[in-house]
Amino acid sequence: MNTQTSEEKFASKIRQALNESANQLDAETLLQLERARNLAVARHKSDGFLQSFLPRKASETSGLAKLFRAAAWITPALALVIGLVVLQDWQSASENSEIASIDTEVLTDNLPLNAYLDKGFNRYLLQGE
Amino acid sequence: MATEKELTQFLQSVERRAFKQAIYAVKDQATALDCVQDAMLKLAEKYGNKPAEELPMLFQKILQNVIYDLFRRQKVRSLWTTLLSSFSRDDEDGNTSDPLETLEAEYDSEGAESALDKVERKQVLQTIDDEIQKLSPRQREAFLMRYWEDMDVAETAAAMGCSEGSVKIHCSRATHALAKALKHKGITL
Repeated sequence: MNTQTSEEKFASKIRQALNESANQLDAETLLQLERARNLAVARHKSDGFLQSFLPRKASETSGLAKLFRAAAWITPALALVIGLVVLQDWQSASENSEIASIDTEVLTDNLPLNAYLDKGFNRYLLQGE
Repeated sequence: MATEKELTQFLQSVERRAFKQAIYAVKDQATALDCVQDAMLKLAEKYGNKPAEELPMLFQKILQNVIYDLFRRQKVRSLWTTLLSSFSRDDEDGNTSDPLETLEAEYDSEGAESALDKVERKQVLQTIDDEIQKLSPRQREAFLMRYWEDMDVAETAAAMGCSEGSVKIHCSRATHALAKALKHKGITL
Protein backbone atom coordinates (compact mmCIF):
# COMPACT_ATOMS: atom_id res chain seq x y z
CA MET A 1 0.00 0.00 0.00
CA ASN A 2 2.86 2.27 0.98
CA THR A 3 4.73 1.35 -2.22
CA GLN A 4 1.64 2.15 -4.27
CA THR A 5 1.39 5.58 -2.69
CA SER A 6 5.03 6.42 -3.33
CA GLU A 7 4.63 5.17 -6.91
CA GLU A 8 1.65 7.43 -7.42
CA LYS A 9 3.44 10.40 -5.87
CA PHE A 10 6.42 9.91 -8.13
CA ALA A 11 4.16 9.42 -11.16
CA SER A 12 2.34 12.62 -10.30
CA LYS A 13 5.62 14.56 -10.40
CA ILE A 14 6.55 12.96 -13.70
CA ARG A 15 3.11 13.87 -14.99
CA GLN A 16 3.70 17.53 -14.12
CA ALA A 17 6.99 17.46 -15.95
CA LEU A 18 5.40 15.80 -18.98
CA ASN A 19 2.60 18.36 -19.08
CA GLU A 20 5.16 21.14 -18.90
CA SER A 21 7.08 19.54 -21.72
CA ALA A 22 3.93 19.10 -23.83
CA ASN A 23 3.07 22.76 -23.34
CA GLN A 24 6.38 23.78 -24.85
CA LEU A 25 5.69 22.37 -28.30
CA ASP A 26 6.64 24.72 -31.12
CA ALA A 27 4.05 26.69 -33.09
CA GLU A 28 4.54 24.70 -36.30
CA THR A 29 3.79 21.41 -34.54
CA LEU A 30 0.72 22.89 -32.89
CA LEU A 31 -0.49 24.15 -36.25
CA GLN A 32 -0.08 20.72 -37.81
CA LEU A 33 -1.89 19.10 -34.92
CA GLU A 34 -4.73 21.59 -35.36
CA ARG A 35 -4.92 20.76 -39.08
CA ALA A 36 -5.03 17.05 -38.30
CA ARG A 37 -7.78 17.64 -35.76
CA ASN A 38 -9.86 19.73 -38.17
CA LEU A 39 -9.49 17.09 -40.87
CA ALA A 40 -10.64 14.37 -38.48
CA VAL A 41 -13.65 16.41 -37.36
CA ALA A 42 -14.56 17.09 -41.02
CA ARG A 43 -14.49 13.34 -41.70
CA HIS A 44 -16.71 12.81 -38.70
CA LYS A 45 -19.18 15.34 -40.14
CA SER A 46 -19.32 13.72 -43.55
CA ASP A 47 -19.95 10.31 -42.05
CA GLY A 48 -22.68 11.55 -39.74
CA PHE A 49 -25.55 10.80 -42.12
CA LEU A 50 -24.41 7.25 -42.85
CA GLN A 51 -23.70 6.60 -39.22
CA SER A 52 -27.26 7.48 -38.27
CA PHE A 53 -28.28 4.21 -39.96
CA LEU A 54 -25.75 2.13 -38.07
CA PRO A 55 -26.48 0.55 -34.69
CA ARG A 56 -25.19 2.72 -31.90
CA LYS A 57 -24.80 -0.04 -29.37
CA ALA A 58 -24.37 -3.78 -29.64
CA SER A 59 -27.73 -4.29 -27.90
CA GLU A 60 -29.51 -2.53 -30.77
CA THR A 61 -28.58 -5.31 -33.15
CA SER A 62 -31.00 -7.76 -31.57
CA GLY A 63 -34.79 -8.21 -31.37
CA LEU A 64 -36.96 -5.32 -32.45
CA ALA A 65 -34.00 -3.30 -33.65
CA LYS A 66 -33.23 -5.97 -36.24
CA LEU A 67 -36.85 -5.91 -37.41
CA PHE A 68 -36.82 -2.12 -37.75
CA ARG A 69 -33.56 -2.20 -39.64
CA ALA A 70 -34.95 -4.84 -42.01
CA ALA A 71 -38.12 -2.76 -42.45
CA ALA A 72 -35.99 0.24 -43.34
CA TRP A 73 -34.78 -1.63 -46.41
CA ILE A 74 -37.97 -3.57 -47.27
CA THR A 75 -40.41 -0.63 -47.12
CA PRO A 76 -38.89 1.43 -49.97
CA ALA A 77 -38.57 -1.70 -52.15
CA LEU A 78 -42.20 -2.60 -51.51
CA ALA A 79 -43.31 0.98 -52.29
CA LEU A 80 -41.43 0.81 -55.61
CA VAL A 81 -43.15 -2.44 -56.62
CA ILE A 82 -46.59 -1.11 -55.68
CA GLY A 83 -45.88 2.09 -57.64
CA LEU A 84 -44.95 0.12 -60.77
CA VAL A 85 -48.13 -2.00 -60.54
CA VAL A 86 -50.33 1.11 -60.13
CA LEU A 87 -48.62 2.79 -63.10
CA GLN A 88 -49.16 -0.28 -65.29
CA ASP A 89 -52.81 -0.42 -64.24
CA TRP A 90 -53.35 3.27 -64.95
CA GLN A 91 -51.81 2.99 -68.45
CA SER A 92 -54.00 0.00 -69.28
CA ALA A 93 -57.16 1.80 -68.06
CA SER A 94 -56.26 4.88 -70.11
CA GLU A 95 -55.92 2.81 -73.31
CA ASN A 96 -59.24 1.07 -72.65
CA SER A 97 -60.93 4.41 -72.16
CA GLU A 98 -59.65 5.73 -75.51
CA ILE A 99 -60.88 2.64 -77.36
CA ALA A 100 -64.26 2.83 -75.62
CA SER A 101 -64.76 6.48 -76.65
CA ILE A 102 -64.06 5.60 -80.32
CA ASP A 103 -66.45 2.65 -80.11
CA THR A 104 -69.14 4.94 -78.72
CA GLU A 105 -68.69 7.39 -81.59
CA VAL A 106 -68.91 4.55 -84.14
CA LEU A 107 -71.99 2.98 -82.57
CA THR A 108 -73.87 6.29 -82.40
CA ASP A 109 -73.20 6.83 -86.14
CA ASN A 110 -71.45 10.11 -85.48
CA LEU A 111 -68.48 8.70 -87.26
CA PRO A 112 -68.04 7.02 -90.66
CA LEU A 113 -66.82 3.43 -90.32
CA ASN A 114 -63.71 4.16 -92.41
CA ALA A 115 -62.60 6.71 -89.86
CA TYR A 116 -62.07 3.85 -87.43
CA LEU A 117 -59.46 2.44 -89.82
CA ASP A 118 -57.63 5.77 -90.02
CA LYS A 119 -54.47 5.45 -87.93
CA GLY A 120 -54.25 9.16 -87.12
CA PHE A 121 -57.91 9.50 -86.19
CA ASN A 122 -57.44 8.37 -82.59
CA ARG A 123 -55.10 11.25 -82.07
CA TYR A 124 -57.51 13.65 -83.78
CA LEU A 125 -60.27 12.55 -81.42
CA LEU A 126 -58.12 13.06 -78.39
CA GLN A 127 -57.15 16.56 -79.52
CA GLY A 128 -60.81 17.35 -80.09
CA GLU A 129 -61.64 16.44 -76.51
CA MET B 1 -22.74 9.08 -30.12
CA ALA B 2 -20.05 11.72 -29.66
CA THR B 3 -21.06 15.08 -31.13
CA GLU B 4 -18.69 17.14 -33.25
CA LYS B 5 -18.11 19.44 -30.32
CA GLU B 6 -17.27 16.55 -28.01
CA LEU B 7 -14.93 15.05 -30.58
CA THR B 8 -13.21 18.40 -31.16
CA GLN B 9 -12.81 18.98 -27.44
CA PHE B 10 -11.48 15.50 -26.90
CA LEU B 11 -8.95 15.74 -29.73
CA GLN B 12 -7.90 19.19 -28.59
CA SER B 13 -7.32 17.93 -25.07
CA VAL B 14 -5.34 14.88 -26.11
CA GLU B 15 -3.37 15.99 -29.19
CA ARG B 16 -0.25 17.30 -27.45
CA ARG B 17 0.09 14.28 -25.21
CA ALA B 18 -0.59 11.97 -28.15
CA PHE B 19 2.16 13.69 -30.12
CA LYS B 20 4.62 13.29 -27.26
CA GLN B 21 3.67 9.65 -26.88
CA ALA B 22 4.23 9.09 -30.58
CA ILE B 23 7.57 10.91 -30.39
CA TYR B 24 8.69 8.66 -27.52
CA ALA B 25 7.84 5.64 -29.62
CA VAL B 26 8.94 6.62 -33.14
CA LYS B 27 11.65 9.17 -32.27
CA ASP B 28 10.86 11.35 -35.27
CA GLN B 29 8.71 14.47 -35.30
CA ALA B 30 7.23 14.13 -38.80
CA THR B 31 6.46 10.44 -38.33
CA ALA B 32 4.93 11.17 -34.93
CA LEU B 33 2.67 13.81 -36.50
CA ASP B 34 1.61 11.29 -39.16
CA CYS B 35 0.80 8.74 -36.48
CA VAL B 36 -1.33 11.22 -34.51
CA GLN B 37 -3.16 12.32 -37.67
CA ASP B 38 -3.84 8.70 -38.67
CA ALA B 39 -5.14 7.92 -35.21
CA MET B 40 -7.39 11.01 -35.22
CA LEU B 41 -8.83 10.13 -38.63
CA LYS B 42 -9.44 6.52 -37.70
CA LEU B 43 -11.15 7.56 -34.50
CA ALA B 44 -13.42 10.04 -36.32
CA GLU B 45 -14.21 7.76 -39.24
CA LYS B 46 -14.62 4.40 -37.56
CA TYR B 47 -15.55 5.22 -34.00
CA GLY B 48 -17.30 8.58 -34.34
CA ASN B 49 -20.56 6.85 -33.44
CA LYS B 50 -19.24 5.77 -30.04
CA PRO B 51 -20.16 7.59 -26.84
CA ALA B 52 -17.78 10.41 -25.84
CA GLU B 53 -16.70 8.63 -22.66
CA GLU B 54 -15.28 5.73 -24.70
CA LEU B 55 -13.10 8.00 -26.87
CA PRO B 56 -10.00 8.16 -24.61
CA MET B 57 -9.60 4.40 -24.43
CA LEU B 58 -10.35 3.94 -28.13
CA PHE B 59 -7.97 6.70 -29.15
CA GLN B 60 -5.14 5.20 -27.12
CA LYS B 61 -5.77 1.80 -28.62
CA ILE B 62 -5.82 3.24 -32.15
CA LEU B 63 -2.69 5.30 -31.55
CA GLN B 64 -0.76 2.28 -30.25
CA ASN B 65 -1.97 0.20 -33.22
CA VAL B 66 -0.91 2.92 -35.67
CA ILE B 67 2.54 3.01 -34.07
CA TYR B 68 2.87 -0.80 -34.13
CA ASP B 69 1.75 -0.88 -37.76
CA LEU B 70 4.45 1.64 -38.57
CA PHE B 71 7.06 -0.47 -36.80
CA ARG B 72 5.93 -3.56 -38.70
CA ARG B 73 6.33 -1.71 -42.01
CA GLN B 74 9.73 -0.36 -41.03
CA LYS B 75 11.01 -3.58 -39.55
CA VAL B 76 12.51 -5.08 -42.69
CA ARG B 77 13.34 -1.74 -44.33
CA SER B 78 15.27 -0.14 -41.53
CA LEU B 79 15.97 -2.59 -38.73
CA TRP B 80 19.49 -1.33 -38.32
CA THR B 81 18.32 2.30 -37.97
CA THR B 82 15.91 1.34 -35.21
CA LEU B 83 18.62 -0.54 -33.37
CA LEU B 84 21.04 2.35 -33.59
CA SER B 85 18.45 4.92 -32.53
CA SER B 86 17.84 3.02 -29.31
CA PHE B 87 21.40 3.93 -28.32
CA SER B 88 21.02 7.55 -29.38
CA ARG B 89 21.75 10.41 -27.02
CA ASP B 90 20.29 13.91 -26.75
CA ASP B 91 22.11 15.37 -29.74
CA GLU B 92 20.95 12.57 -32.05
CA ASP B 93 17.24 12.89 -31.36
CA GLY B 94 16.58 15.66 -33.84
CA ASN B 95 17.25 18.23 -31.14
CA THR B 96 19.89 20.34 -32.83
CA SER B 97 19.84 23.16 -30.33
CA ASP B 98 23.02 23.63 -28.39
CA PRO B 99 22.33 24.11 -24.65
CA LEU B 100 25.21 26.57 -24.45
CA GLU B 101 23.68 28.72 -27.19
CA THR B 102 20.36 28.76 -25.39
CA LEU B 103 22.10 29.63 -22.17
CA GLU B 104 23.93 32.51 -23.83
CA ALA B 105 20.80 33.88 -25.45
CA GLU B 106 18.85 33.80 -22.23
CA TYR B 107 21.63 35.53 -20.34
CA ASP B 108 21.30 38.42 -22.81
CA SER B 109 17.55 38.85 -22.42
CA GLU B 110 16.82 38.13 -18.81
CA GLY B 111 18.46 37.96 -15.45
CA ALA B 112 21.21 35.40 -15.20
CA GLU B 113 19.63 33.49 -12.34
CA SER B 114 16.20 32.99 -13.93
CA ALA B 115 17.80 32.06 -17.26
CA LEU B 116 19.89 29.46 -15.50
CA ASP B 117 16.80 28.10 -13.76
CA LYS B 118 15.00 27.88 -17.07
CA VAL B 119 17.83 26.06 -18.74
CA GLU B 120 18.15 23.67 -15.83
CA ARG B 121 14.43 23.00 -15.89
CA LYS B 122 14.53 22.45 -19.63
CA GLN B 123 17.37 19.99 -19.18
CA VAL B 124 15.43 18.15 -16.49
CA LEU B 125 12.40 17.90 -18.78
CA GLN B 126 14.60 16.68 -21.60
CA THR B 127 16.17 14.07 -19.34
CA ILE B 128 12.73 12.85 -18.27
CA ASP B 129 11.70 12.67 -21.93
CA ASP B 130 14.83 10.66 -22.71
CA GLU B 131 14.34 8.26 -19.84
CA ILE B 132 10.70 7.69 -20.78
CA GLN B 133 11.84 7.04 -24.30
CA LYS B 134 14.25 4.40 -23.01
CA LEU B 135 11.53 2.41 -21.24
CA SER B 136 10.34 -0.73 -22.99
CA PRO B 137 7.34 -0.01 -25.24
CA ARG B 138 4.86 -1.86 -23.03
CA GLN B 139 6.13 -0.23 -19.84
CA ARG B 140 5.98 3.18 -21.48
CA GLU B 141 2.46 2.63 -22.81
CA ALA B 142 1.19 1.43 -19.47
CA PHE B 143 2.86 4.23 -17.54
CA LEU B 144 1.70 7.01 -19.88
CA MET B 145 -1.87 5.77 -20.18
CA ARG B 146 -2.19 5.14 -16.48
CA TYR B 147 -0.51 8.25 -15.11
CA TRP B 148 -0.56 10.79 -17.94
CA GLU B 149 -3.82 9.98 -19.65
CA ASP B 150 -5.38 9.31 -16.26
CA MET B 151 -6.94 6.05 -17.40
CA ASP B 152 -7.77 3.46 -14.76
CA VAL B 153 -6.21 0.01 -14.69
CA ALA B 154 -9.15 -1.64 -16.49
CA GLU B 155 -9.18 0.96 -19.30
CA THR B 156 -5.42 0.70 -19.72
CA ALA B 157 -5.65 -3.09 -19.85
CA ALA B 158 -8.41 -2.87 -22.48
CA ALA B 159 -6.41 -0.42 -24.58
CA MET B 160 -3.24 -2.52 -24.33
CA GLY B 161 -5.02 -5.83 -24.84
CA CYS B 162 -3.58 -7.40 -21.70
CA SER B 163 -4.63 -8.27 -18.16
CA GLU B 164 -4.99 -5.74 -15.36
CA GLY B 165 -2.21 -7.54 -13.51
CA SER B 166 0.15 -6.99 -16.42
CA VAL B 167 -0.70 -3.28 -16.42
CA LYS B 168 0.17 -3.02 -12.73
CA ILE B 169 3.46 -4.83 -13.27
CA HIS B 170 4.38 -2.66 -16.29
CA CYS B 171 3.55 0.52 -14.35
CA SER B 172 5.50 -0.54 -11.33
CA ARG B 173 8.56 -1.49 -13.36
CA ALA B 174 8.37 1.70 -15.38
CA THR B 175 8.15 3.83 -12.25
CA HIS B 176 11.08 2.08 -10.62
CA ALA B 177 13.17 2.27 -13.78
CA LEU B 178 12.46 6.00 -14.13
CA ALA B 179 13.16 6.72 -10.47
CA LYS B 180 16.43 4.80 -10.64
CA ALA B 181 17.56 6.51 -13.84
CA LEU B 182 16.71 10.00 -12.60
CA LYS B 183 18.38 9.37 -9.26
CA HIS B 184 21.46 8.14 -11.08
CA LYS B 185 21.56 11.45 -12.97
CA GLY B 186 21.13 13.43 -9.78
CA ILE B 187 17.63 14.62 -10.57
CA THR B 188 15.16 14.90 -7.72
CA LEU B 189 11.58 15.79 -8.46
